[in-house]
Amino acid sequence: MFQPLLNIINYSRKVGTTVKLNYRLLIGKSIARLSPHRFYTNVVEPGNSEIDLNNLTEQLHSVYEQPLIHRLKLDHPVHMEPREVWLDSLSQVEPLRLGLVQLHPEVFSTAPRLDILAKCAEWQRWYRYINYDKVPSPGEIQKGGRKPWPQKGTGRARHGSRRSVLWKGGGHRKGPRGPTSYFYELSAEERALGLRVALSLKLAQNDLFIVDSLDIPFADRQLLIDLYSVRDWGPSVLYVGDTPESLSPAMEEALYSLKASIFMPLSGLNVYSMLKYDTLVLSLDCIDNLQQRLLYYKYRIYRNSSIRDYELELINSVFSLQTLAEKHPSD
Amino acid sequence: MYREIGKIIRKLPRVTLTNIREFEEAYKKKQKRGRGATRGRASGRGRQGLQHHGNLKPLGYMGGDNPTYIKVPKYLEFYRDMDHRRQYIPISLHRIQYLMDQGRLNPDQTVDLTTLVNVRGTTVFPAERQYGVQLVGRGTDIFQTRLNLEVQWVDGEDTIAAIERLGGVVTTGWYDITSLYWLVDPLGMFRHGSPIPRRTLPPYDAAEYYASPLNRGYLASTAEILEARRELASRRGYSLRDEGLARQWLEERKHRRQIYYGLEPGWIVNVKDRVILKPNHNELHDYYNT
Repeated sequence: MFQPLLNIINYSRKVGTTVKLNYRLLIGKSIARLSPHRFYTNVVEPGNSEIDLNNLTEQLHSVYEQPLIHRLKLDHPVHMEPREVWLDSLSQVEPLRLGLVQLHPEVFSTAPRLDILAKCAEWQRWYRYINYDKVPSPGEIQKGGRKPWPQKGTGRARHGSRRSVLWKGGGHRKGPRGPTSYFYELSAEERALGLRVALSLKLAQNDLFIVDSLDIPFADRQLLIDLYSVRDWGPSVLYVGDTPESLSPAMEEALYSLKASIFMPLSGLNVYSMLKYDTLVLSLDCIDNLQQRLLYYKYRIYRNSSIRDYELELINSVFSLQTLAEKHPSD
Repeated sequence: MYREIGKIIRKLPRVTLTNIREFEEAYKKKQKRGRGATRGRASGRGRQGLQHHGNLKPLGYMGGDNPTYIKVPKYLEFYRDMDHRRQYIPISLHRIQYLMDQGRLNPDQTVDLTTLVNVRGTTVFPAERQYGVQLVGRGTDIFQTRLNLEVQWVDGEDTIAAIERLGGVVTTGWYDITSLYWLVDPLGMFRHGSPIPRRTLPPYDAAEYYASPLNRGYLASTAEILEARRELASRRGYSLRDEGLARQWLEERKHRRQIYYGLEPGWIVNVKDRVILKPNHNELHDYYNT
């Protein structure tokens, strides 16, 4: 436990400043039972007698005595077990295995449907693409209404307009005609499946990591660079949090200068980005929401408009987290 | 299975945008209309020739006489009673055990065709003269649940023994096509606002089947079926346990006019207002329940 402290001392900028090891920001309801310790250390030359390192390591030890297990609250098929992943932290360079996170098997271990990934990535590329090429037809070109010279007698070829396809400066019959949209819909079920497959592949290929919060001790890109090299995270890293506010200001500043690392809120999670970025880092606060929404799109049965609302409610109540009794407490 | 797949995937190259591909059907050129030699202008008659200019007769045409393929009748034995023939969709004990292992079927409740269709264990199309589900014996060696099961046909003694050996109960019941529509899609039928119909009795060629305790038919009495269970057990060499529960289940079998457990024929179920309307008049009650 000696190590973490020394690392942070090494990354300090100025001797004499106080570095707050902000363990209070190990947020998440699963960690609420920890008392909020705040560890301060004066950044000094090594060998200073003011720091009682032994005492601090003991304190650190007591904090991490209990492993933190973020359990799966959703139902899963009986024959599939939840997948377990380390709960880590960005508060230091070395991996700090705080505990475990249980992940739903139908979201994080689906079959490796590469064709679905291809479909989703292609859809993402094409559905919002508009080709603005437009070439005027002969009728759209200014002038050209008058016959340039009489039909007979001039010795020249016969023509009806100066802007026909035959002429230089004339229009085109078969050119691109105006803004063309390539919009098409991919059903919500297919897109949700694409997300599930991408998450499963990231987990299977050791590219998925879960952190307690997207916060680093201080805004320093070198911290992240060294973190990547120690933990073997790829050159490009995608951070995902529940909301835009999940990203702390320190982290935001550090990421600003790192071109290959970006943050997106959960609503921005998409197949293309997951395939583009080598490593996927999920914040703990977005796990529950993510799994619940993806499973909803897997299990909802009827999307047919001929099914009435009350029937739909009855059917989907079997697969929703809230039973009908909870929804209508008066009945 | 997915754990094994995961172990393999871990060693393969990282899946990126350059590694993924759709199935080949997506990359094949789609045939479009109006691209052939005649550019869609020849009304489908091709280019020149007798096909284009002339009056080409259909195959089998005999100059106006009754063609052979119409004149000669079909071999009657193959087609006799074709409209009255019935199909029963097979469902194996293996499949039922699989559904229970997945947690889709609950053995604490009676399993009938409505339950099986709701959990998507099977699909039945009454429109195609499928009169329900037949229990098939694949999986007798791995079946290990005590279950109260209602089907429309059972393929033989082995299957019945496989269930009863574990203390379960299997029953066969006749559902005519109208009742089957109700059985298979309850919500869709409740929406019509008509009362739950009564089941008819089986036709002449099935009456004996459903009246016989050897097939565990629903028209056989509880006593007959219990006797048949004991006889089968002694012949096969297993002992029946907890006959009390089996007797209770047999007495809870559906009435011969009843389609759903807990609902009687003649009732109107209003899903929207969560209300059931029951007929008052004696005549109606007698009609629906006898």
